[in-house]
Amino acid sequence: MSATTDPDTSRPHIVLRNVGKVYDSGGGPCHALRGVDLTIAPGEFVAVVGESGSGKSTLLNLIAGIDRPTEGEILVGATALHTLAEGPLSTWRGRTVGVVFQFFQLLPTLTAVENVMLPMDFCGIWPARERVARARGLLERAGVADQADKLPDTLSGGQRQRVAIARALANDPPIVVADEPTGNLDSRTGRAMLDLFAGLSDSGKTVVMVTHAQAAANHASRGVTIHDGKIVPGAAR
Amino acid sequence: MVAAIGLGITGSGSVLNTWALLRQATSEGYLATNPPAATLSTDSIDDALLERVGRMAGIERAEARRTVRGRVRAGGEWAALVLFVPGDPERMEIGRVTPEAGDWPPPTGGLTIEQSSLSLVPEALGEEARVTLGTGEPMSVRWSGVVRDPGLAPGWMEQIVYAYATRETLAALGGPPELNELRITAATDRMSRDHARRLAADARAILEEEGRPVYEVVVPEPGRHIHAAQMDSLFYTQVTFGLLALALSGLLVFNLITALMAGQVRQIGMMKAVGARPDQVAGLYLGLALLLGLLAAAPSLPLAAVIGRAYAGFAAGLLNFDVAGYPIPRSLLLLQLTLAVLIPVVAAAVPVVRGSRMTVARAIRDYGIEDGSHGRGLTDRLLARAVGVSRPVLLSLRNAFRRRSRMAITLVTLALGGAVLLGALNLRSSIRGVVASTFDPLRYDLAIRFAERQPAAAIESALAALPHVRRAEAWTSAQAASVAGDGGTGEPFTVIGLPPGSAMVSYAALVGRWLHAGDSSALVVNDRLLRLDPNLALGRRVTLEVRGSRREWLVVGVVSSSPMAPLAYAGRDAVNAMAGRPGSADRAVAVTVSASEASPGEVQRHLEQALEKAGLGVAEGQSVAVTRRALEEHFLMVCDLLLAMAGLIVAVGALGLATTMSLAVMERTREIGVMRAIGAANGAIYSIFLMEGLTIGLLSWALAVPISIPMTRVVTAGFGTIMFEAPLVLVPAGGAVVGWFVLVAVVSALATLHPARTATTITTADALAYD
Repeated sequence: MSATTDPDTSRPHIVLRNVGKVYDSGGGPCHALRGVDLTIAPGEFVAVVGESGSGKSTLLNLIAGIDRPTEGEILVGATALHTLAEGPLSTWRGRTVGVVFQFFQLLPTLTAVENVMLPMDFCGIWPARERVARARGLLERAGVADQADKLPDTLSGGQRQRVAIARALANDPPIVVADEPTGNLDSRTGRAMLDLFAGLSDSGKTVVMVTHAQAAANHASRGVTIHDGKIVPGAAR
Repeated sequence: MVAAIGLGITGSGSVLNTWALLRQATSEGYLATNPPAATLSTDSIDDALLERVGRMAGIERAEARRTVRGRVRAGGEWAALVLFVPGDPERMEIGRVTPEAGDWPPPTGGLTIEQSSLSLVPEALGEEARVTLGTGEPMSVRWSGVVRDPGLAPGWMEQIVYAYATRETLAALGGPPELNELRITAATDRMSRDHARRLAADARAILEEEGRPVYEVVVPEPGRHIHAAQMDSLFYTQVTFGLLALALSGLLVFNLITALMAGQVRQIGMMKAVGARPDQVAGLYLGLALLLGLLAAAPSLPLAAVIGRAYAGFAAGLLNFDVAGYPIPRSLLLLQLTLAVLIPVVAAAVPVVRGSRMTVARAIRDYGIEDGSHGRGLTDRLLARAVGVSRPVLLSLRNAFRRRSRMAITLVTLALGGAVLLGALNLRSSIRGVVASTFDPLRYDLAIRFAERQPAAAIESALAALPHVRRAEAWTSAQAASVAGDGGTGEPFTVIGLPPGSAMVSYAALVGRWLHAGDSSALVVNDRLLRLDPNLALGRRVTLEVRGSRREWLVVGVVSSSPMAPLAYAGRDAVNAMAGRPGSADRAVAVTVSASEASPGEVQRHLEQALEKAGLGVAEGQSVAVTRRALEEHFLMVCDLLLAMAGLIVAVGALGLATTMSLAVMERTREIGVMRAIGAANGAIYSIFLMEGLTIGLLSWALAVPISIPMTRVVTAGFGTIMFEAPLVLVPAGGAVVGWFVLVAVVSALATLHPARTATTITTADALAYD
């Protein structure tokens, strides 16, 4: 299936062509990514593996539209991310990408169910009267329905990450990205998270996960190794 | 931060500087004039009598003068003139004046003007002045000099031209030759009013022994300027609210620096990890805070000095004083500098000490933000119950309470500013109420005072013949004093005599009744007089003394008329009988009709000219509307000051809110990144922060309204007691509460504008990477 003919709203391809990212640091330019070419098909569970400082998080940020490439093109379906301004990127991201952070990043003054409803409020896809029920359903799916009315600082790390996953699914995005989602969890909880991601992939969502741990990467259907800002050819499964 | 400290120092410093300058100028300036301890009015005072009084035990000095009322042509218009004629201007020691330009003493044929009346007289020194004392044609003299007399209320405020002349000039103008005012000062015990009263009584005895009747004895409060009460109210409000502004801005700065420094705890831990000693760390941060304070003080102290001197000059001008030449005390400047520096240093010391005491490991892990206590407080639990609102709105509401102490200070500051504003507006409305109750019962629009007493019938027939006069009455007046049981007399007051069945006033009696047509010995007093002399209560039979003659009266009613003067009202014939001046009048009131081709001012001038032609010399003509406006402006000056104070406090509050919101944006940078990551567009981010600022602002409105109730009571009671010796009747300002709601919403939105916009400029990547 062509990368440019899939509709955005259903199952878009992710295409990176000659993507590079340079940061200006005090000691001169830092090439976080260079000449990255990558295609991710709809429904794939891709693990991006690499050492600290390899550029894997930068790659994830570019795919999610959180950051912008210095060169090259990033196409998600028919949307050229590199051409969008900050505001439209946020709107696109709310509808298309669910983001799971290493440190959960739940808003501390909202309860679990309110955190899950927040992306729905921002994007306005779901009618207001349906949001509560949908949020509670997502929390149930994530296994934390009984924590719905609690504030994040009363939840365990694992519970918070489950709420974060539910939040990432709030607007039913076709793509879910996760940056070291098990980095702050014990091994048992981490495995449960990875099973969740696998389940999402099985249901047709595209999952892109960054990890430095090979064991975590083994849960994915494909691995992409990145070293010194470049994808290592042949290391992909 | 620097602006917050600076604003507080500038505001409170200006007020304190003004107070210090005015205190010096008025106490030293007024006392330097050697004001009279007592003034007695009689028929005539010759040199022998003056010398005899001067030799009296306890008298330091005795001088005589005459005060004459007339009119002077100024800028083509006739203006009221009060002419002081000292017996010996070269050796005038009581009520000294300060020459400022031209001649002093005035030469024969010259007038020396009091400087506060200069704005009423466009003619320059050396130019002609046309003067009439009400008898005969106007005469020409020259403006020959300018003096300052701090003992007088400003001429521009009273709309009176005050001037000085010699006896020779007075004679040339056709004025009476005799001096008739005796002014005495005490040799000892100069601040004792009782002592002054005793001296006045002794002087009176001498005058009466010499066959001179005493018409009036005035013993002012020693050392207190004629406008001292007004000045007290100014000082009271100035100092109170100036210090309040300083305290609030100080608290605000303290809170904000503590918040900023909280984020430095990790850095302190890192420095300690690489070998920094506690005293080195303390020196670094406290030095920084000291620098901050100095940076704030550098422009603020000079600005406070400039503003303080400018405002002191303005206020002094209102009281006819001059602050030039008086310095701002060094101790006050030092106090302001100390506060500017001390507040940030003390504020920075709190987290510095905290960081110094923590272990390095703990300090490095300290992100200075969440301590996990959110959700447990009362407000958090209440807000958790909020239903039916979207999550972005919930975020705004709950985030507003996230930093409770910081929010509380901003809230309290804005609320206090709002309460003072509402109090000032209510005071303004109450003052207008007093003015209305004073002037609304008056059914005439023009009041005339004649240079000499005239037959009442002649006045009324002359006025009735004029085309612009719909109706007119001739009134009389007399200075009376109530006679106590021991035969002594009380403080003098004015009795106004009205013709029977007068329709020119419609006072509603507070108790009792107004005058009836057939009354012969009925007396109505106003509430001010009753407070002064409780013996004049309803139903009492009282004896009044006028020009040495005594008569019994029955108090039949009490009214609320002029709050400024103790007045009584009786039938014109009865008053004239008591004063031995049958059938006479010294004033008239008229209802005029403005023709389409003539303004009220022109009608007044035509009327006065017609009376002059009929031989009824006019000393003063006053439009009721003009008098009402002048009085209102006089009193509303205090409201304007309160409003300025309110504005200062609201400004400090707005600055606090802006800084609070800026800190909130900084502290929640990563949260902004998260919201962007989950789909929040610029508008959503902007709205969340804007709504948070508005929440704080509107909460301050809700807090200000109940606080304003006691605030209003205090300011109206204080103002009324100081100015009128009785609390004002409270008249709430309509629409003030709604007006404050709108104002605080606008102020809050403006204060939050920049921080909210800043929040939208943070990119998602930068925000998520924020440490």
